[in-house]
Amino acid sequence: MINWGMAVISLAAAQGTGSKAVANGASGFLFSSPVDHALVAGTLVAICAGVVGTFAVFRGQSFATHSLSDIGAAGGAAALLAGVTPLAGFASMGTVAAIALESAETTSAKDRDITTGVLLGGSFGLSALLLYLASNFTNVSGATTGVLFGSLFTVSASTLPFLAAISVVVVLSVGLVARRLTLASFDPDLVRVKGKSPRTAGLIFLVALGLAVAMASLSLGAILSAALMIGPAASVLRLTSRVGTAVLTASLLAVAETWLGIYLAYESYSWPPNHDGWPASFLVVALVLLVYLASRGLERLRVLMGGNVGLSGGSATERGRGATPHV
Amino acid sequence: MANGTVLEARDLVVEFPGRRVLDGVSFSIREGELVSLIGPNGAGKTTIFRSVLGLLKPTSGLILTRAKRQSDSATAATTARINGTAATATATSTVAKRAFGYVPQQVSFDRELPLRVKDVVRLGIDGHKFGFSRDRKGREKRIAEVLEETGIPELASKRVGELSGGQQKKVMIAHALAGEPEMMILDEPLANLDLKSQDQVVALLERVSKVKHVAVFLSAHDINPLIPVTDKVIFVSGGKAACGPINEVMNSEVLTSLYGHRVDVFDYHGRMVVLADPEGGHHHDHAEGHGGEGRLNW
Repeated sequence: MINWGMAVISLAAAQGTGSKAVANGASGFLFSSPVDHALVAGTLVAICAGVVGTFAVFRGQSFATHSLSDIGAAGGAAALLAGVTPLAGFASMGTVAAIALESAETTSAKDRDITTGVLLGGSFGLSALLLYLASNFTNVSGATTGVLFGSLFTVSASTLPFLAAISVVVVLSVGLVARRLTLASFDPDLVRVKGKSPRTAGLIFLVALGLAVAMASLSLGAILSAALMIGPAASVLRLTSRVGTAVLTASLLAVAETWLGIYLAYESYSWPPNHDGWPASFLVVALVLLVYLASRGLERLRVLMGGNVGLSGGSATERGRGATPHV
Repeated sequence: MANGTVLEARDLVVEFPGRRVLDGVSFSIREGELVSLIGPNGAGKTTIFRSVLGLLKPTSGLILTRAKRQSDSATAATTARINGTAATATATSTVAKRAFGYVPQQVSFDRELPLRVKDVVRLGIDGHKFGFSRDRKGREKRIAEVLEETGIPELASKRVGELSGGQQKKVMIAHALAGEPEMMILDEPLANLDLKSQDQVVALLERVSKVKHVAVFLSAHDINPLIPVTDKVIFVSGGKAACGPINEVMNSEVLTSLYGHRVDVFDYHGRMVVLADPEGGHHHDHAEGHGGEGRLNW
């Protein structure tokens, strides 16, 4: 059974505490077992976040992504209560919620928002109950904090193969449906007139999204995971004109933000106020936010410079124009 | 179905709860023909398109299509009777879907969409399929050909979300052509375009029909921009339709019969002006807001 409270203790023991950690520097960072596990897990999560997040953002499913992560909290809490790894709970609930969202007969974006909102509200209530029960009737310490805010440093070696297997499933699933998803993103009827179903691709994608969110929930927590799914993709989408480049860049950016966040969390044991470490999830999400803001600044710079700054291809001469097509 | 006919609809009836949208509509379209579907809002234009495309199951009627079968280079004539059963309707749809290139009225190319024009055209070839694409060389050659045919090779590497409405419309026409259809179906392709863009799109569609011999079936509110290029007009109103050359359909006698009250058609400096009797029942509603008492604006 996982003990969220042990994370801080094990990390502190692995690196030495306080000023000793500073003396160990980067070499101590790389030879710490919890850090190594966090880096491997974080890398897998970040790659999936880049792949899935790119499609989620340009398909307008950022709210669904956030909802799936919040809904997954109920699964994580149920897993703690049942005495199994939270990953199983996050993944099961994420998959069920994804199928429920895609199966709901919504005819408009407004309908979809209402359905998502209702499911989200219900799952929050269920999460509150399950977290209360887990906190009071199990010997799991820090259950609520662990489920909601995660901890990269609690990922065990035995969990890594499962994360790797889920990553493969996620990446292959998105690769399988990528073309149809892209076509359906500008009009689902363009898929239907070819005799194919846009909903099949949508369902496969949402399940992949649910699994990726589950992985991110384990490391960053149910509440913060959506930031890693959406942030890196949103940061690069306006800087490139190719889906492949966007996926690759978003993944690399997510990996970089995760690694830097883990390094800062390790170093934070020498930081005030208490010299007992800052939450890795906060540091990763803070980096995601900073990079996103910087990307928007770069976007503005492109407009001012006439579109000569960017990752690849495409004219940016009209970047300043609005989203509505004009004549 | 006669030789050279790519689509024929006979006695098409579509009923929605509480009302009959199409009431025995019949028409045919030959290869290389440019056919304009004209009528006021709510007349059933989109319902006709959705029926032909297999997106909507008609209540009754007959749709005949000549489809290019991917597994058989020979052209096959396919007939299906739509009688409300799922099996026959599905058979009709499956055949029809292979033959049509579709351009929706409004495609939302968001600025976040990381796609270039050639990517959108590429999706017209195999965007509906699962898995990773093959025959990269063949696809790239086809994309270059289509961009050349539609007159937009210089836009190939532009980000599609940043193009003008007229350019995006041409991109979608290229997307539809990339699938090598024998008929293009375009829902209000001239809507929300300025006059210059309208002229460019009309000229492009004329090239598609006359040079590539691909039938073009499009809907519009206003016949005037299409008069020089339209081979046949299908005028639909109140669930009924009249089909034929413009001068045989767009005249006072036919439209009066279709509407059930007096409608006058005038030639005003080469433009067709249609005026309805101001006392002419519910059709008068369509005249409101279009700058002229009793004028029907399509």
